[in-house]
Amino acid sequence: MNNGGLYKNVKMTLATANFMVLVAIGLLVFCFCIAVVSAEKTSAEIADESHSIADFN
Amino acid sequence: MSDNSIMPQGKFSAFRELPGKDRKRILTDALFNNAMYIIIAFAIIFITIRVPAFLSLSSVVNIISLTASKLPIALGIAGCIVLTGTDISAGRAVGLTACVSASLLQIAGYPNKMFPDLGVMPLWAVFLIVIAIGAVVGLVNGFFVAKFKLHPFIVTLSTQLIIFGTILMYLMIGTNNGQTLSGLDESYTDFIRGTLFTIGGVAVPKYILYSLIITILMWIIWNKTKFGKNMFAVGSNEEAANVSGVNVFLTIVSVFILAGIMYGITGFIEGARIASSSASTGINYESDAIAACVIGGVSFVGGTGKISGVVIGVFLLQIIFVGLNFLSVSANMLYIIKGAIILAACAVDMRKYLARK
Repeated sequence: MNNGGLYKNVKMTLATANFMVLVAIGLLVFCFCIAVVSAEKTSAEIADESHSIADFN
Repeated sequence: MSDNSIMPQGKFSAFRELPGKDRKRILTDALFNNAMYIIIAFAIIFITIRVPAFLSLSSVVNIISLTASKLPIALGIAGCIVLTGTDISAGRAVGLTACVSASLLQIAGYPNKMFPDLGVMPLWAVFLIVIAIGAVVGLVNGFFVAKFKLHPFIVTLSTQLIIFGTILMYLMIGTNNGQTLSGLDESYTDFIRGTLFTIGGVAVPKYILYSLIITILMWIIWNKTKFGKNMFAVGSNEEAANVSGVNVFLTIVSVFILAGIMYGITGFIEGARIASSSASTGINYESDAIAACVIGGVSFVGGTGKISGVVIGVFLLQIIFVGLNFLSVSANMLYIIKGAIILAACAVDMRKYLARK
């Protein structure tokens, strides 16, 4: 019989746990999206700068 | 053939015969328990669509190589997690052993050689030294956890700081003056990074083979030895294991020593792989390893976990990290995503425990 380890003092219903999982996964997906969008933005900025330098030259 | 085709059909028909409420519960459980795998699968598909080169041969070999380099540390930490503990000194232990390996295996006559009077030591001797260092780190961790019943988090937090201080002091020895250790002997770099074989023009490094051997050895230790069975018994329920005649103290200390040896091996590999060891080598390796273990099903509940799970966990995590690099995601954002992955994996792990209870 397992004694629960790190979660032995966790007292919550399965529904609450499901909600927690959804929140945690939502956070992960949100971070992933922000990372992808910010990477796109950075690439676009670099491209713009390259164009500006090319135009200047 | 007929048996294989009948079994899933039988299971499926049994599933269909269940009441609607039970069917919904089974589906919800399956969805939540495999949430991390589903998310990672979606991420891989997304990255592949955006950057098709992600699944090129060289990229796949790169992902496997990175997995191989991080596997020993994850296998070590997995043992500590099976005991319902953790080990946050792992990364620093890797850093220390990488620095020691690099310092003892610098080219003779290299301008910034840490020990100018020391020739190039034999590889086996350095390997034994770093394994001994790792084992001592593990012994200290294990002793304080087993003897004084301190939580592994606190013990390994302390040793992490002690090891970091030791690395900084070690790097000041001789003429090095805290600089990065480079100029490694060819015998060392070739032993680790040398080409094992070539596939489609892409070189496969030798350390993949070493990692494979270590994984097989760990599988045997976990599944086919008395020590492995004792480890799972102690992790599952320490008091019950004690009553059953298991030497709990010795088991805990041995698990931590084994983990320390794994950090030593990782350090030996990393020293040659990155070829420029410094005080920052190994930083945050433990967070990647812990995340990989939890993704791979090594539960913080204790007494649960498989070597195959750890391998899959490390592999999936490396796929994500390499994929994010392909998407040109900044290194700063990677830390945030790593943290979110650990959080989500732990939430799923806790939910699995509650569902079983």
